[in-house]
Parts: sequence; structure tokens; C-alpha cells
Amino acid sequence: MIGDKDIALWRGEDGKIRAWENRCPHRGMRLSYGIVRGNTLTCLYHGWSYDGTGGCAGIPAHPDLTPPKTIRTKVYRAADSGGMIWVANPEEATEVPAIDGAWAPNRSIHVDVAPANIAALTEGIGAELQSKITDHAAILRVPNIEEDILVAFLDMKEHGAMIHTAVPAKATEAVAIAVSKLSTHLRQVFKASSAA
Amino acid sequence: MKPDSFTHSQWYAIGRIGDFEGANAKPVRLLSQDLTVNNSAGVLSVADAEGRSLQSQIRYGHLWTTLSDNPRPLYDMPEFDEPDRRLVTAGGVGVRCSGLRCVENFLDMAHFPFVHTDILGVEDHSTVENYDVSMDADKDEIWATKCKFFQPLASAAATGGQMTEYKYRVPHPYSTILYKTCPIRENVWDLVGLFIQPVEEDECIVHSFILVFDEDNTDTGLLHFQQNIFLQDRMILENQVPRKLPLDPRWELPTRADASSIAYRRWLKANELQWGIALFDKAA
Amino acid sequence: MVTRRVSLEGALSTESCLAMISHFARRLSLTSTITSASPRSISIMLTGDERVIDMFEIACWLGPDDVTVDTITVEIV
Repeated sequence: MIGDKDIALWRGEDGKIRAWENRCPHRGMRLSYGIVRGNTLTCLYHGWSYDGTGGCAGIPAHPDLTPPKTIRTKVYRAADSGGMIWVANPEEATEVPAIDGAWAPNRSIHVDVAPANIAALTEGIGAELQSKITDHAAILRVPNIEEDILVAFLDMKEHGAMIHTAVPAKATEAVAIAVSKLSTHLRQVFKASSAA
Repeated sequence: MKPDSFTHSQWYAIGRIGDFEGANAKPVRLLSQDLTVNNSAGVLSVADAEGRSLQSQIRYGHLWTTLSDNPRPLYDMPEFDEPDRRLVTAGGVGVRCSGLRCVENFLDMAHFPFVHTDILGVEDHSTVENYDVSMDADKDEIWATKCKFFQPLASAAATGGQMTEYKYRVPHPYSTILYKTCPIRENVWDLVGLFIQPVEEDECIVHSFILVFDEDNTDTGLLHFQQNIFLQDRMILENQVPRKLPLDPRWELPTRADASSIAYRRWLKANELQWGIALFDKAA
Repeated sequence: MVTRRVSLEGALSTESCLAMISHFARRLSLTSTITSASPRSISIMLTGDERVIDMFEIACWLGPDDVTVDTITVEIV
């Protein structure tokens, strides 16, 4: 989920990440239940297959029909950077965040309430902002953790939010464990208030 | 939303007779209303939330009720009076989508190879041959006939792959019956059907039955076969977006294989059915 | 590639029916020319794959909310 949009994420044999509207154009089945074969995604319901660009590649009920190129899924922009997957609306021209160095993904945790902004997330962790990457991602310095860490959050509106963390690829196991232990703290900080 | 008059005027199955044994009063929900089934010494009656008594009848192994004072007659299924047939009922299964979507999925053959793989279809035989769809104007119901599909294991009594011939009937917005080639007797049809209890616009309880000629399988064996198929369908039904049935053609993209779905939707539209229908959202 | 004349009859509410026709023609990569249009009947010349024109026909049967399609005929031109 991005905001209130349901997205299907998948990676083909070519290693490329794709983000599509999570809905088969034929009869509305969620494509996230589909099957990846090579570089195509096949819908679980009627087996309609889509190539890596979102174009329909086959309709099994009518094997002799060549689907026109205009039968396609709604495709979002998707890219890998800093050990995380980044998705943007197709009409947005923003660059994929450039994140220096090699990063290893650490944890993806769900919280009840989305942080208001990256400053609120930094404060919630009790960290110090090193550099802001986007409105939703930054490199932070956390007390008692030897390395800078990469943190990003995804607002899912009424579904809460996801907070993703990554550590430098060269970081020690002790650092990775310390970062993963932030999860409990984050869930507490961004908990739905019982009064609400 | 208040149910439209087509929806309001129908009879609905709300459980099997046995489901109401042993309890004096059992709550049920129908068309966003709380009802109570009272059992007084084995005689069942239905009342609404204000205690007003509703019409009820026992037919096809189920208890039926209606919110209408002047309901349309419940459709006939003469096969229920034929000797030697066995009736197996599965009991209610809750599904988080409009009951209209369950009917539409039931009419669909194109999903067999992918959802019921190696039972009702195989990927190598995915073609849906053209079939006939017609509206019986007298009875106001839809038939899809001359439906043929290759099935590796068409029923609990089947011993191998066969071209199965099907007929589908939709006599009610929330009921559908499949007539399929009987694997062990010539020139007769086995029946499989759904009586759907619409709970909310996007939530329902499906009561299914089979009425077959089968001397070998136990009731439990027949039931397991049907339940296995239905649970595979439920996974699809609960993951179609939106949960209500879209009638605006811009939502989806049908092919000739979807002719029965289109006929069903046209019939709902002609009867001005609105309850359980998704309104088209241009932004979505 | 074939060309077919597709004729719709019914209570067509011309404007929304034409919008639906252009929506599906675009969606299915069919070249379309409206040859006649009235509230009772609309005729279109469609060029494209024969099986895709068949999809177009099925897609048109349901019609928008304010449209009731009674018949669709597809003729070889």
C-alpha cells in the first residue's frame, strides 16, 4: 500500500523491480497473487500474463488472440537504491534517490501511525539527522550505534505506516542487531493512542 | 443503502434445517438486517429486529425467508423430486465480497485451469469454446448452454479426464445452478448449486449443495470435493477489487469467454438491481 | 487485419455510448470511424484483429449506466 493505493511489487529473472497497480485489468483480481515466470507476471485468476513493461502477453481462454499492446496494467516507477525499493507515481519526474555506498537491508516494521515527517521520525528514534534523502528518508546517527543508518518510512494512511532500516554493508553483526532492536521502541513511539 | 425492489422481493436461504436444531432462537443477518430464527418444538419461524414475523418456507434442504410482504415466487428445481438422487449440503461459508461476485465466479469456466488446477482444468487445455447464452423471458432467468471444458477430475465420481458438458442457470440474483454431465449415467445431469445469503453489500454467506447420482462416494467424500473447490474460489473472491460487483464497463475488460458474466450483469441492470453494486470511480 | 461494420441498437443515450466506444477502441488498439449515430442506433467501422473486434463487441454489450444495448451486429465489409 502507498497511501491508499494497493501496489503489486515483483522482480523478474532479469532482476528488475516492478511496481504495478494491484489489479488485473480483466476482472480486478489482485496481481500480487500472480505467478512470476521469467520476466512475465501471470494473474492467478484466468492466467492473463503481462510482460515486464505491463503489456498483456497472453489470454489463455483465447490462445489464438494476440492481445493489443494497449491492454496493460497501470505501471508505477520502481527502482533499487540503498538496499531498498523506491516507488513513484508514473507522472512524477523525481530522480531515484542517490544513496552513496553499499547498504544492507535490516528491518521493515509496521507501526500504527505514520510519522508526520522525517524530523518526527528522527526525533522518535532519538537520533540526529546526518543527511536528508527525501521527505520520507534520511541517514541518521543513533546514540550507541557505531554506524550511520538509513531510515525510510511509507505512509499507508488508515493502514498505518512501514518503517524500513538499512545499515552499511560493512557494518558488524553487533550494529545490525542494535538497529533491529529499535523496532520495539519505534512501535511504541508510533502507536495508536488509546484515547483516539 | 436500502435494498432495491428486485433484491428486496426475493426469497433467501439462511441455513439448513439442521443448523437451527437445539437452539430456541438463533440470530441471522440478511440484507444488512438482524433477524432471529425461532425454533418452537421443531417448527421454525423468522422475525425481524422489531419482532415482526417474516414469511418463511423450507425448500431444497434449506430454510428460506424474505423481507418482502409480497415476494416473487421461489424458482422451481424439479430435479429435487427425482428418485435416486442424493442431496449433500455443505452449510454456510462466509465470504468477504458481494454475493453477486460469487454468482459470477460460479458461471466462469476460464479460471478452472488456474484456480482448480488438475481438478476442473489443466493449463494445457485452457481454451474456452464459444457457448450460448440466453434469457428465458417467461421465467426471467438466464441460461448458458453448450458449455464444454476439458476436465481432469470433473467430480468425486470421475475416474479420469473428460470433455465435460455444462449448463448454467441463474434464476435469482443470488442463486446459481450448474448442470453437468453425470459421469456414471447416460443422458442425465448432476446438479451443483449455490444459495447465497447476502449479509451486507460486500459480504455474504454461501450455502452450497450437490444433487447427484453417485452410488460409490460417501456424503463426506462428496462434501470434501465440493469444499476443496469452494475454498480455492474463496481465495479469489476475497481478492477481487472492488469487493462489490462493478457494472460500469470501464472497470474491466471482458472477452468472449466472459459472455455469461456479461449476460448476468445485463440482467441485473435490466432489473435495476443496485444493492451490492460498485459505483464507478474515475480516479481509481 | 480486417474491417467490420459494428452496429449497436437500443436505448443508446448517444453521448455516453460514443464515449464508451472510443474508450474500448483505444483500449483495444482498433481504428474506429463512426458512420452514423442516433439515440436508437450507432454504426462504427472498425479495423484491427478479428478476435480483438470480437472482444470489442463483448465489451460493448453491458453499456454505460444510462445505456441499454438490445442488439449488436457485426458485418463483413
